[in-house]
Amino acid sequence: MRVTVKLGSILRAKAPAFVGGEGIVELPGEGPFAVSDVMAALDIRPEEVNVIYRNHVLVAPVARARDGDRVALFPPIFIHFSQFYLERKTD
Amino acid sequence: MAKILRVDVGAGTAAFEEVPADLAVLGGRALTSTLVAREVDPKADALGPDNKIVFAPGLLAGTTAPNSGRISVGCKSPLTGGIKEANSGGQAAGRLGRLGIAAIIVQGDPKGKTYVLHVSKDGARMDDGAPFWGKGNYDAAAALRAAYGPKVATIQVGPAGEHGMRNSSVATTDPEGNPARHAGRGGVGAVMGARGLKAIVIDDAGSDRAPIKDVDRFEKARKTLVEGVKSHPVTSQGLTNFGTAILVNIINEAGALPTHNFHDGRFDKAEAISGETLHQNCEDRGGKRSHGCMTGCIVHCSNVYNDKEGTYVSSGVEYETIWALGANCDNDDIDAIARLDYLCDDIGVDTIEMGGTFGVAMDGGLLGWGDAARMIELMEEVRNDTDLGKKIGNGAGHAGKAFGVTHVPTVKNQSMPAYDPRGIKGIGVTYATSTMGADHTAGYAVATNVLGVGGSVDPLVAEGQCGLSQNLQEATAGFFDSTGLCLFLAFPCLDQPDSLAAIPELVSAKYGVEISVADMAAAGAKVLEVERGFNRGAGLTEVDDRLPEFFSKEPLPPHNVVWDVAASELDKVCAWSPVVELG
Repeated sequence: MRVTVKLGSILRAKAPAFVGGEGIVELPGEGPFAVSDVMAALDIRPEEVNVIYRNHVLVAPVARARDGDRVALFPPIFIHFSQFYLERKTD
Repeated sequence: MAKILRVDVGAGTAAFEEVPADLAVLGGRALTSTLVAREVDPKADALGPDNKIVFAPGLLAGTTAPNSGRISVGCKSPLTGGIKEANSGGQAAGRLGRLGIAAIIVQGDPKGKTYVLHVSKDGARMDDGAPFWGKGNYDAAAALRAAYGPKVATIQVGPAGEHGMRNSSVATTDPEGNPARHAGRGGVGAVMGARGLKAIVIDDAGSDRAPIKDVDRFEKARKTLVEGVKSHPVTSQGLTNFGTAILVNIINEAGALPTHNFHDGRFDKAEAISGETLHQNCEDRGGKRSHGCMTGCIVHCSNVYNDKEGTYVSSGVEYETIWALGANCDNDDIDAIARLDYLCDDIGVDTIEMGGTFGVAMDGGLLGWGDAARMIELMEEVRNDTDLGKKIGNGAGHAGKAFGVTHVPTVKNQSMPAYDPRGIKGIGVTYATSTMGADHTAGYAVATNVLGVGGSVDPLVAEGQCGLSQNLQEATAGFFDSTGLCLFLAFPCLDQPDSLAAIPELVSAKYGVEISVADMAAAGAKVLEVERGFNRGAGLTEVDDRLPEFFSKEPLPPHNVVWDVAASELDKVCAWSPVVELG
């Protein structure tokens, strides 16, 4: 499975070969995989990400990524958990 | 005791008066809107002799409270036809606070004369403005420093304001003396220009910090707020290191970055104009990726941008400017955007409105999409007040009429900022219902919609957006626009109850009063009530609290959503009611 990944700001240090913070992540098999598996492939820990877009829709790490999807990951330096939950798609 | 400085350009006088008792604990937007509502006929011609322009620092100006130096500029807007409060960073507000000046009211018919107002601890006087009139803001700022001293702060208008352009701004100087901070929205520069006032020179030499009634209480609250700002990742890391431009990629991935004059929600060249690119260019070229626009700023979201040779281009190249002159115009040249930012600052126009105008003009065929070189050329038409300059210097609505374009993204004739309301519906409610016209800072629903600060609703559905926007509009007016605190303190304050509570504590300690969080929220609601009353008197109705029709008809890629918040829900936010009588 291949997905396009866009990394924001400080997360780009995890994939220095990416151009403009963007590149392909390949996982074994056809998928789907959880977005968290895509993150793990880049050695990105859950606490290092607080906004995830899958094909421009806000999702949780458990949401599924499929072959050809676009996943954008942004660090918590421009968002923050509060006492309220963040609405994210989980499918 | 703070005073009001009343300037009559018809008589050529500047005199101090006592602050009325009922206005004693009002500052910033609360004070400008109250004074405008009391002293300006809502039906007056905004560029005529009966409009007034009011400059007011916030309640905490001149103190050690962090980021407390925003200045509010109020008048009847020549762009929207309603009440306007535009605010800016820079050095002016802090200096006025130290001088004990609660507000400067400028009124009267200059009858062709031009002035520079000089204020210091020794008083105020009106000097001849002729040596400075006609200069761009950068040359004028340098000339004013040469005339009045290297450490003065200035408030000034550029050629656009002198020409009465409805997209003209009021500039303030930053700590380096650059006129790079602007009260941009709504054509306030034209009102200052109509008063014949080129500049206000503020010399606070020999003055002390603004007096504090309860120093210990103030210091305790100040420390709480500072700790909150420094501990929040947005205000201590994100904004500090990448500035507001960090939003380019985030909003682009959200599918809500207005592109091609709001025809699309994603810009395929966003990376080229992103905060990450800006950060790298600042690092590589000897600029500053982190910069404060005022003394006492601890967030440092601004920047100093150099060209490839390491020469200064502009300061404060930030998200709204990058979007307006970039993605909205299909322009992926960040160096050209920085040059355009400089020109907007120098000529004295709002970058959001200018970018909105260029987008409309591109739709109308005046220039090609992404033609940055032509954009730069056309700015000189505005500077020189040519016939073409008049068509593009008076806002996007005016340009739409001039070029036969109906796809004009404005509310109350003011251009929409950098979030498409179809993709972030909370901000759309704010655009529609704000007393200011399409204004993103009036109720920054983006923070909750996209960034998960202080709770969340789904940005793509209508439900929940009106209540969110109303609450944020009241909070913004009460806690930030009236205290002079930078709006970015809202990030920690929305998430940390102690930080939010520190704001009324600071005000209580400074003025020797007892004000609570609830009091400030209520004060914010009162400000909106006053403003709505003025707008009703000016002839605005609920019909003006709507988005342009195309937002309801044209699905926005990539989500293919339309604007569908019901008019009846919008009207609840405004609570359209009989005109408020002001006592």
